[in-house]
Amino acid sequence: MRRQFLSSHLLLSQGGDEWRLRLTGWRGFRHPWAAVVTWEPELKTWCMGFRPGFVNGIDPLVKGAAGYDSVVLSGSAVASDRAAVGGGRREVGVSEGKDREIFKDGERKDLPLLSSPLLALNFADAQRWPQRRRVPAAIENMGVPARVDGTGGVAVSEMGGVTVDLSVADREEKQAKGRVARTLDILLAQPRVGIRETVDLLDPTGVTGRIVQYNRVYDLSVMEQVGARAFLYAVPDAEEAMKRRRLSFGEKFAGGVDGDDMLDKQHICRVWAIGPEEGDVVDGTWQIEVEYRTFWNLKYASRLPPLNVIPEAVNFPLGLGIGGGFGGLVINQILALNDDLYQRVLRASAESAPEGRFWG
Amino acid sequence: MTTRGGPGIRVSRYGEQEVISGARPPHRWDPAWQIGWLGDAVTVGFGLVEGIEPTIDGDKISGDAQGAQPVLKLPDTWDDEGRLWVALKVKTGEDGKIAEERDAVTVEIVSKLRGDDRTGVHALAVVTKTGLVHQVEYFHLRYVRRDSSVDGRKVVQHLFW
Repeated sequence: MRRQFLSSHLLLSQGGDEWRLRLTGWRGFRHPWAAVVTWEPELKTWCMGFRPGFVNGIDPLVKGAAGYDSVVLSGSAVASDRAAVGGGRREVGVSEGKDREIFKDGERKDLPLLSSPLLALNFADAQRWPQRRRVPAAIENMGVPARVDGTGGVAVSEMGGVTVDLSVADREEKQAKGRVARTLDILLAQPRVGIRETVDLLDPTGVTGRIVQYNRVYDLSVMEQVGARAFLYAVPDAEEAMKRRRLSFGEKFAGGVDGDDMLDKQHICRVWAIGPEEGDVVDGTWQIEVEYRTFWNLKYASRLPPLNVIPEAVNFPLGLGIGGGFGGLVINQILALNDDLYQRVLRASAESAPEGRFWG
Repeated sequence: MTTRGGPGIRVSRYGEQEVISGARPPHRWDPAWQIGWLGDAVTVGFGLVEGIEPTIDGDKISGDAQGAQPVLKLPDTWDDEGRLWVALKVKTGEDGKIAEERDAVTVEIVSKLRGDDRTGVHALAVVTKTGLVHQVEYFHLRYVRRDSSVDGRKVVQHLFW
């Protein structure tokens, strides 16, 4: 009997004179992106290690952003085991005799998740709680007040982006007492191609009147800078960072400035640092909790919208000075043509969103 | 020579034949594509792509009637980050649907997650040179091939969900 035979997680195989019996089978679900946050006394920061998660089967990089340090534990095969050890950290010796390298800002090194890098968490610019937004119930149970109504008795309302001061002279201060918290959000960003739409006003010679020229090109600037691989980084506020900043053509035509950063983002988790009342600087005595938003490995795809929906640059004739009796008729015709072209451009612009999607 | 089973292992003898069975305690969750790690090879548990069960060298991944699963040996060539993938390969025909042949959907070990216009590739697990295995996909899959053209050039996307 030479062939390999597997029955109920046992593999029996024969090689020459030798029989080998091996126990196999699935080792259980390990939740991707599970993080272990430990205090590094030498750096005086909290550092976060991740159990690997994957985007389209590839592990993302861990990038330090400006002001953050990226710490590397060299000698891979650490992150998963470390997480399995339930939060404790294990130093791993490597061949060169040094078990870790620390990269300070300026020598930032981007490392893939499978090599177990640590992301240093800088809570200096983190979001502060309690605030107007409610904390989750689990955090409230740890002593952080659910929310506060503004600061120092001044009620502030934001409607449509406009801040209205509704302070009332005899309003009492409603500062709740309890522990304070700071949060950082860990985002996954996937660079993609952008679309740059330009609208130019031309004044060609030999033609009466002016021409508005609409043009579209692919914008690869972000991909050229950061590469095509997804990466993890920390921000103070995920909602703010994930706001859609790409304007529609109509908004741009009306003079808006496009702020598309050509990164598709997914919120992985929020790290809470909970400290004493009146606590200010986050140190090793604070309590760390991780609130996950993503539990699965992700797939991602984006559309590369075709540029030639409108054959060449579109030219709208504008303001032809027509005199005489033909004025009304011809102007109406031109306006109709303009309107049709404008609608085509609007539609093409709206249908060609380059944003991609993550799914699990 | 007698074979004795330890805890969790049962040895049965039928004439000249010995059958050895053992089982781990059941997991609380039973997902698709359970990767069994053997050190130098892997097995892949039951999973479906558009209702089709993939094969390894012609044998279905979940094994035959006796439970004998085909085994994928790891080659010696790793990519430049020390990774290899256990990947699903789906062959499609002209019409964009999964090909009607016997081994249209297979599981293989690859060092690059790249197919071509006709073959879609999807990662099921990652194996690292240091001996770690990370399962990437836990669910049965739907699949579609999307053909489009960008500025006259054909663009093919293989989408799994």
